[in-house]
Amino acid sequence: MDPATAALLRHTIRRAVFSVRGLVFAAFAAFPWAVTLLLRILVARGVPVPLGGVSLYASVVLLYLFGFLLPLSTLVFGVGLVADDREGGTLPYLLGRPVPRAKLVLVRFFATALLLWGLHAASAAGVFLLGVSEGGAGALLREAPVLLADLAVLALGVLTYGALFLLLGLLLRKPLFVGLLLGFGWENLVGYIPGFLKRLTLLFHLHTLLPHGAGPQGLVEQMLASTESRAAAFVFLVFYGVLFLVLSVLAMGRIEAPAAAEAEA
Amino acid sequence: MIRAENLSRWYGLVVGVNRVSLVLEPGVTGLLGINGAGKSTLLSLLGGLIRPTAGSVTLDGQPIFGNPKALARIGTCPASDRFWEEMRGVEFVAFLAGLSGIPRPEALRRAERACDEVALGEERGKKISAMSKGMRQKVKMAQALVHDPEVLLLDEPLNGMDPASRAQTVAAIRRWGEAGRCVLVSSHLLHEVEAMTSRILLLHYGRVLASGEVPQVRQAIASRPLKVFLRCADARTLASALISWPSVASVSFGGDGRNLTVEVADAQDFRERLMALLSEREVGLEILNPLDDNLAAVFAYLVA
Repeated sequence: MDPATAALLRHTIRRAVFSVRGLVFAAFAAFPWAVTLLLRILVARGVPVPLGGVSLYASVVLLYLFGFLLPLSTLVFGVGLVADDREGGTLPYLLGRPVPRAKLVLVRFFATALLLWGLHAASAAGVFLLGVSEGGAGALLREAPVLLADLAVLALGVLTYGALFLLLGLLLRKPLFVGLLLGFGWENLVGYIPGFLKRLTLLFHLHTLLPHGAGPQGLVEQMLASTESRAAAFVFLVFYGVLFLVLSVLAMGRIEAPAAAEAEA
Repeated sequence: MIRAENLSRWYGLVVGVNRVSLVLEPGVTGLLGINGAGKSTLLSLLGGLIRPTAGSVTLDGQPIFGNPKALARIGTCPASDRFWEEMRGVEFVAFLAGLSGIPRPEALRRAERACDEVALGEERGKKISAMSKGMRQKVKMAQALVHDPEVLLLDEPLNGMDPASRAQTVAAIRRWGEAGRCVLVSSHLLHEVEAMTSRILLLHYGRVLASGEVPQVRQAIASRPLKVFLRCADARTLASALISWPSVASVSFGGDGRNLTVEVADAQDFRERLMALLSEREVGLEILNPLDDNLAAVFAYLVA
């Protein structure tokens, strides 16, 4: 690995992990563990709970991870990849170095994506172990492919959402607001509208790839029902991810170090 | 070397830099101008941080913006006081050395050496957020030269420094120029630019108003005759000789009657005639001093 890539990786990982933002999202990722543990304690005390085992796990994955943590974490970290340096005035240091701009953006993107996937994977795996272990080792082994499939879809989700929000961060001065509208408005509303429009969301394709429907029995399945095949969903997601990344690299090639020059003018 | 040809940069309808052509040569060049003259814009263009709207800026024929090969030979010290504040000083410099392609162990060594070069002592181990303004300036300068660039672009490097640090920095800048680097330093502090160099580039509303050695620039200001101070024992005799010379615009007495202030239209002719006069007769010349053959006067005459 060349020194510039190594330096970028170290810097990106360090800034993501050792930050208030990193702590907050670690807490968000751990929250479902606490909920699952609480439900297990209630069950152990004989309190009837509406969900348990793999149904609980699937609900957490669908509603919490895909519906909340994935869009929010990729928005905050994706937008911040370049926007933080632009707003913070440190962009001249990066752009003035002999690092190809494509490398500058892609190394930071993939390093951040790996960290975010780790965060989501830890959240999902923790809930899986705490929730499904109620049924014993047999249940864990039986449902393990579900976890593995979810981890793969989470990876795809991190990459595509991350690339989308990275692009927003490069193109817009105030990308967080637009990102929130996209991530929680467009994605959650249009994804459930019948017809072709939902194919313009990432969430619809991600849900198509998930190995299970969840929530109140059959309700989410009915809401997400489509005739799209998993192969088509995968192709759409790869297409979107590559498109957003290519556009991001092009945008990065044109970005300028701001502030001092403009302020003087 | 860095060459700019008809270099322009606009921000909407506002002109930052307007048809600037220059060649940056080895040694130190002072970049002067009032606030809003375009100094930071010019430095950003030369440093490859922003794109020209028109014209070109190249390093040995290669465009600089987005060109890693060119950027490897340039070090920029920006004016803005912004850092990754959680980093320690030497760590910050080492990180940017790494981004310049220097392997980690060597990057750390070079960072230490760069900190030594800018007289950043034990404070280099502090978090940048805990550093004074002067120390932060030194960190910026250290990162600009850690990868041993041929070209150094320093935007207001003396800002916030105490007098001792300023003197150290001025000495360092002179050293870098003498070592053959092309150093372009922007500053409002005329006397400190004078301490670093006699070569200037004066910007005004985005245009180059003057460039070259200060005495040459001064002589080229034809609308302002050079003022020369003379003190001699026989001022009246000298004055009566001077007033007849075509290169002398006016002569005035001052002080105890032994002081003369002479406005000179042609410095070369005046010098030759004065040498000839002094060799012919004794007037008891004690002091001969140009009064406005300096940067402050040049700046005032051209800009004010």
